[in-house]
Formats: sequence, structure tokens, C-alpha cells
Amino acid sequence: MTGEMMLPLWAEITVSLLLVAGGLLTLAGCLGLWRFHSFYQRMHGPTLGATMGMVFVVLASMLYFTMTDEGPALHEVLIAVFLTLTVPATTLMLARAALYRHRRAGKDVPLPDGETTAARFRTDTLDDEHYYSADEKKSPPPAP
Amino acid sequence: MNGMLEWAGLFSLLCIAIAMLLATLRLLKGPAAQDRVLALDTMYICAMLMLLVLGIRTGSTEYFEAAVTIALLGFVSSVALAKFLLRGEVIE
Repeated sequence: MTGEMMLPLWAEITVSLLLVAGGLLTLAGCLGLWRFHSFYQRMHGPTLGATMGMVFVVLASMLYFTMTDEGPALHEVLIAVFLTLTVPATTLMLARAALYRHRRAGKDVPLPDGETTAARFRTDTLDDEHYYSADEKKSPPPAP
Repeated sequence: MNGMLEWAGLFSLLCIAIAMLLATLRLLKGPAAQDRVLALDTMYICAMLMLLVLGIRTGSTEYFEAAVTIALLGFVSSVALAKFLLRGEVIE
């Protein structure tokens, strides 16, 4: 805590708020990763932390080091730009892999025929049980 | 007034630690391989955020380089794992 003494009050409040918001968003995203019922729902959770949470923490870091060091600290933009470019790419590839594996296993994805989006939260048709039979869950399907 | 930033950083670290714990639970539970890859993908982002918050807490910029390295290697490993799930091999 070397440079904190010279931080003005408004900067300290802003950095604190950004840090708290970033931490809470990341936690909410991982809560979604843990609580949602199917893989396609679970994919949405962590993107919260990878976009908004990351931006808030990066902004807090930029503001803090701009105020404590001499001159603007812009190197955190590198992380923000890089993650903004790469996270959708990995998510897309993972979604395509999951679709391929589910279709190869003969499952009707992402929604069964005649199923509406409104019904997906009333029924459990998007649960893992819909995609995996009981023996499949014990031993995962072999890699294609 | 001086302790506010310290408490905010501690709270943020705690939130990200619980988030990593939840991702670890998903990594252990599965049920399919793509769930585990997604959990790993989440964990490297959480680790990177944790290093950024630690950098703010200690006031040193050395943590930033480690965060960039984690971001680079995490992207490469996630793409390799997703490619392996899709094609059965990484480099063809």
C-alpha cells in the first residue's frame, strides 16, 4: 500500500466501487455456471465476468495507476482488448463442439421440436437428463 | 477513509475466490467434457482478474505481466481443448 496515501477521495471511491462491482459480477457469472441446468444455459453465465467484470476491474486498475504513477497508465487496455477479441472466439468454438457432440449422440439440440423459449424454464427439457441418458452420464461418450 | 480501498479490494478478491470455487465444483461435477472445458475457461479469467485486483492492492505493476500471460495462455489452451472436442485432434 505504497501509493494509496496520495490518492484523492473521489478516485478512491470510484476505484472501490469498480472493484466491488467487478467482483460481484464475476461471482454472479460463476453462480450461473454452477446453478444452470444445461450446457447451453451454463455458457451464458461466465461471459458476465469475462465482459463486464473484466472491464470494471481493468478500469479500476487504470484509474488507480494513473492517479498514483506519473502519467496515464494505458497498458491495461491491452488486456481488455485482447479478452474482448478472444473470449467470443473460444465460446463460439466450445458451443460448436457441444452442438456437434450432442447431435452426434442423436440428441435434438438446442431445443426439441415444438418447444418454445418460454417453456424452457417451466419444463425440464433443457436439463442434463434430456441430453444424457443414465449410462451416458456415468461414462462420457468417446471423443469423435 | 484510507481503509476503504483496502476493504473493497478484499471484498473483490473474496468474490472472485468464491467464483473460482464454483467453477472448480463445475469442473469436478461435469457432466460432459464441454462443461469441464467451460469451467477451465472461466477459471483462467477469474485468475487473471484476481491478479489485477492484487496489483491494485499492493500498488505494484508486476502483477500486470502475469495477468497478460494468463490471458494469452488461457486463450490458447481453451481453443486447443475446444478444437479437440470438435475434431478429436488439435493440429491436423
